[in-house]
Amino acid sequence: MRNSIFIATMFVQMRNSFARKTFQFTLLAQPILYTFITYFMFLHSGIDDYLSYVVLGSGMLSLWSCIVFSSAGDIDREKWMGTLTTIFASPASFIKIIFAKIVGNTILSLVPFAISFILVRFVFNETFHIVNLPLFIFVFLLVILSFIAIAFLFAAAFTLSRKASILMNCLEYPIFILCGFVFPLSLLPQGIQYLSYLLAPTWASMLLKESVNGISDTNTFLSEGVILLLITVIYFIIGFVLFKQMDKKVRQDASLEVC
Amino acid sequence: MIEVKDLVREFKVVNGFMKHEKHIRTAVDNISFTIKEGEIFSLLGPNGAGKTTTIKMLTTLLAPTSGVCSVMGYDTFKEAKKIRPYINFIFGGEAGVYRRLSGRENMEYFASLYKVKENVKKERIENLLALVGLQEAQHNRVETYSKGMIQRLQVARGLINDPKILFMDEPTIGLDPIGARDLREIILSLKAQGRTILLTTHDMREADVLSDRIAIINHGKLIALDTPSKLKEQFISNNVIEVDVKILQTLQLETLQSLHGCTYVESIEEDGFVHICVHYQDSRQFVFQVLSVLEENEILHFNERKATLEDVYIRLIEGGKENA
Repeated sequence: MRNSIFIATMFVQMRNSFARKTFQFTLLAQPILYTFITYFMFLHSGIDDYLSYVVLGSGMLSLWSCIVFSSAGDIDREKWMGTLTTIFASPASFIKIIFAKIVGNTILSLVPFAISFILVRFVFNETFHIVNLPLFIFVFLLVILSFIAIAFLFAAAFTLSRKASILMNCLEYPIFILCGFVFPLSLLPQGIQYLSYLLAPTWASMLLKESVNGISDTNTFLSEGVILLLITVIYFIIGFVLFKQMDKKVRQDASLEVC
Repeated sequence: MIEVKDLVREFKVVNGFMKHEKHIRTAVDNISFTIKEGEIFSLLGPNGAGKTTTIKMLTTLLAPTSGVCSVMGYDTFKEAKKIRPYINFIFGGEAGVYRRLSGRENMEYFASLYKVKENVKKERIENLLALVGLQEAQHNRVETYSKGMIQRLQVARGLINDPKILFMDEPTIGLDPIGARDLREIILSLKAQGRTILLTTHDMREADVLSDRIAIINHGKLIALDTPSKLKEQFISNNVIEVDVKILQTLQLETLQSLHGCTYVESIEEDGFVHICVHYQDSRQFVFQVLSVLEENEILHFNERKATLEDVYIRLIEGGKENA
């Protein structure tokens, strides 16, 4: 029964998200645009591993856009549809429902990686070679987990604060830049890099590129993996605490519905 | 089954664009009532009276500011999880269902959320869709439904967990007369099954027909609570004379008010005539007295009838305005 709530919510979310035109654009059209832009940007850059910036960079850009425009804002959307009260008042755990929605969205949001890979392989006739495939799969799963965690954290924060939800639409490009999805992080000023290191997508981006191109220093790679895992766990803990607070606060503040 | 005692709910209201001014608005102001098992209890009142706020507190969606608010002996705020499996609610309007899913998919999803057992889920969904007449349209997306169909889907959704207590906030809003009649029959059949129902409606005839007891609230305060027949006896005379005249002079209105047996007179200026409603205690002579007061007027329409719940409602709410 517990799993049926999770799976049912996940599929309902995937269907609802995919039915939205904005999400379709973010999921299907945006990765094509990003792949074209990054490919021609990097083609004559002289960087050897530029395809990792094209495939992984485009995938990460689109994945982040999907997180920002869907997972993080879903509670607000449910509020406008009037369904938030119906799911909140059901006996199912609200945290589980939100978590299942985020997982559903994140699974859908992996499509851009495939689109970008297919474009690079069949349109640009380039070979995207992964040095260590098992390691790449492992890191990729860790990256997915970290994005679920950040979406979970945002979903909780945006539910608690209406003002925070306004910030949602402003979060797309700063994260692109801060986390170095399509350029080396070392290009950013040192002061800003400290901020970058607090964000899970930064480590996710670094680990993915290393797992594709090959690990130059195993200790550094492992440290980066542990840091990403730690940040992910911290995001989950903060998100969980916020959701626990939210259960009472939304009923005290009457913020389950649009007034 | 339901206990509400000295219940208060206040909201912080912020006014102003640049300079925010905060003040407290009391939506529910110290109300008390109890609802027995198997009873249909109606909450009546004008828009903004506090009906929906009360229902939201009872359905665990809103925290009370103070007072007792309990369902099946559990506190609706602190023990919400113990209540939720046994209750459900139907809010009027088109919100509350997923418009991009079909009616059936909505039902299946809410069945999962309410942990309906797999072996009864299919049959229950079939029965509920048949009950609200959505069998044929069950596979169509909700966004293609009419307002009435969405409302009927809401009713089916509200019954998915076979609730012991059902909260219905203006459930017939948006339904055509036949749909509204069908829903009233569903409500009565639910009562026959022993379910407890708390209902809000603006349709006084509906409240009169369905309710075992009625509470009238205005400005968050409970102003009357009794059975429909006792409310009529208690707050208004049994008989009403309705007269439409071309012109009504102030003196005539005062004379009508002073007639022996008269309990309440209401006059409404309509387009080209004045509608007078005179409530009175049983008296064979009273009709003749009214006609004698109005003998020089051109009478356009005359009707004598028994008082209705609507008369009680208008009297109490309008009376409240006069006293305010």
